[in-house]
Amino acid sequence: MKRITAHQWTLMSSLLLLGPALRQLPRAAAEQAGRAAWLGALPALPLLLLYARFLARFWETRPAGTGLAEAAMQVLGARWGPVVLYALSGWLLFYGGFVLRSGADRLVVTVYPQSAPAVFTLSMGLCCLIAALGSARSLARTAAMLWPFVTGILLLLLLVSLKSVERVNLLPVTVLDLPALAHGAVPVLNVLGLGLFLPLFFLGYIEPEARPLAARRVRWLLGESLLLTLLMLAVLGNFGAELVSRLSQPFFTLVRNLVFFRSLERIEALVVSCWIFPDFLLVSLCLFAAQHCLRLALGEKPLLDRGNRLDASRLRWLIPFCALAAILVGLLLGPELYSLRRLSERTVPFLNLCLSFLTVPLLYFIGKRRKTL
Amino acid sequence: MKRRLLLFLAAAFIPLLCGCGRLRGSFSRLEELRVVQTLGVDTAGSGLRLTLATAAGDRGADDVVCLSAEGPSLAAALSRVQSRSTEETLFCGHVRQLVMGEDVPLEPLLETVCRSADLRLDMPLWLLRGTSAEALMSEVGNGSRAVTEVLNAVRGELDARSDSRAYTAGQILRDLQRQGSALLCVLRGGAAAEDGTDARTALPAGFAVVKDGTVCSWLGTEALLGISLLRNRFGVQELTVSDRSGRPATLELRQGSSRVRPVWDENGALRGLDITARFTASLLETAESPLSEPYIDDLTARLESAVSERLRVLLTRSKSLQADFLGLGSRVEAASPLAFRRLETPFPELLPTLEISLTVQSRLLHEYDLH
Repeated sequence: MKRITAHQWTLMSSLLLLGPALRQLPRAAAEQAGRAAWLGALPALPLLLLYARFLARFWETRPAGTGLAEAAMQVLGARWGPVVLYALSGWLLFYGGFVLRSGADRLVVTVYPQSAPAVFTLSMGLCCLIAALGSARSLARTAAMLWPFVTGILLLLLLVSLKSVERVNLLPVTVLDLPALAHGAVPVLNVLGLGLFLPLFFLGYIEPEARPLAARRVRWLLGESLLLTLLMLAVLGNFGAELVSRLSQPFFTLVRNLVFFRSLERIEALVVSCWIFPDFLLVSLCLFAAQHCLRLALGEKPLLDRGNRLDASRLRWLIPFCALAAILVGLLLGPELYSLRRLSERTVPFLNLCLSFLTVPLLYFIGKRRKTL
Repeated sequence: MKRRLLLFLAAAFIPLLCGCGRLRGSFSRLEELRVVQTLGVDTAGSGLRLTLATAAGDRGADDVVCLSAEGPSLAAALSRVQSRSTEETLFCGHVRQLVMGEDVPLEPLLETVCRSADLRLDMPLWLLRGTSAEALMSEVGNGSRAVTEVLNAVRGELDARSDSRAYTAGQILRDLQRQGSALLCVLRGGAAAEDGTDARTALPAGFAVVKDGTVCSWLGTEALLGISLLRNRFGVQELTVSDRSGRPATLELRQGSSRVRPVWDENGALRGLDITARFTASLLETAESPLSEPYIDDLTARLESAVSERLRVLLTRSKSLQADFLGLGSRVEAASPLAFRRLETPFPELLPTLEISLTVQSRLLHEYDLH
């Protein structure tokens, strides 16, 4: 089996959260915390650090080759383990379909207003299928190659947009903002929680010498919190919380306004196109994790895969099945304007938050009670 | 071998990804595109009248395309305009100026701008007084300049004098939501251009105060000085005052700023505002020579009095309209955030009850080469 290095695993975590961060964070945080939203990472960070420490401790005591799916089987046994894995793969496929659909919606809203989202959903889904048919290491290497490119573009855009930030859009923030700030931390928890949770499925593929992961996760959380704060500073500082909470894609609206050196402008089509990469990785990871869970639940050992895309043995036919399911979800989701918005603002963040922060603690609790840990 | 074949196949697909396909009718040759740079909106019956204009470009005003059509909505009007432009495709991705007639409903228009995938939130929105957008856009310009160039020049002038204060669609929408009122830059059309021809131009005609979706007051061009001082967006402005002999003296004002200090009573209620405005000035023109210290002191006092009067007019208007178009609420909040949040009455409603004390301080720094 081709292993993932700890560095690649960390970059995978960083890249996968860029899609949800730009899609939901500025608007959701501005709605919850108003002007104080740019500080949303501050109250979220202690909780995230504690959770990251708990996850690191939990995995340090697991044998090598144990990802989240293997840990669930170990803790819950042959009876309940598969049930939980079916549920997890169901969520992963639903979430993958949702990302396909919302990515298509972003392209339609910002660049191609006369197009149908189905074209983008289908083509992206097929690309992700090709990636998911490969090895986990290929996905991790893809993340490592794409991360500098996408993050570099994001940082450049944020730095350029910081020059037009208005102080009145960001300050003052007082103690009276603390309750709102606590609410504003929820979207940050959601985004960073996903970045902590989803890579757990891939811990089984990581090099044994890459552990322990605690220090690496702390650095990762600090860096990502800083990046999200910078994103919120740029978007809120330019538009103000009142306007951001009404825009459907505030970051891309900001990009539409940017002018470089008084000559280069209207680059939003290029930037939106770049955000295909984080979506591609996120959906591919979801598909890969979903087929991993399903095959493990059905008694296979997906960790032994060699990443041969044309190999259909050992239940590998489930990979195209998973892709088909995610594409179908993407095609059927949000046929009306408000149903997609409701999913994007309420259902998906709530499910994400629950699964990201409850799955492993529940496994730990059950494992301790059943003495299977 | 298999990898090379895959690489070759992937490379073969790249040309298909450039977006220049005839699929879905999105293909247009560059030379067939007319880049719309100014967009005008008027009311027409129960709908809207949309006028689009391109820039003059290298071939002068004769090359300008100015088309207009009516429709029940902006999108419908746009599609009618597009159908009239049979030879060329109109491209609205680079609209730089938006002009609107006096009676166009503001908030629906701003919402449309927000929803549009083509229009930008940072484009200035001009309100027309005494003319329609269609009339202004068709008549403004001369041999080398059309409406887009004229409006760009007006914006440049306004930006220099008030440090980027040609109010954009995004700023207006934000101010309306935050303060309940906003300022719009007003244009007057039909003025004769100063080039000796019979060409017409557009001139700044002050500001409109918008509250509850409608214009509730008009401010003249002289309000620019006070607005930019009170909103802390001061650029470079000239002001002519009468000196002690009644002769005009012109000064250039720079580095203006203001400080707003709220005055609270013992119960935590906002009683008044203590506003201090400061700026520096340079003497540009005077009939007095040689200059003496008493003359300079007197001129400085007169300058402060003139600026103070302009600020007082603005503040009185803001109080009487109960419209915080000067953003004083944000200033009070910045100075005393906790007390401001505890206010039971919205700040604009408090405005008429506030006692405002105004102090203007200036320094005459130099008078260029002569002294």
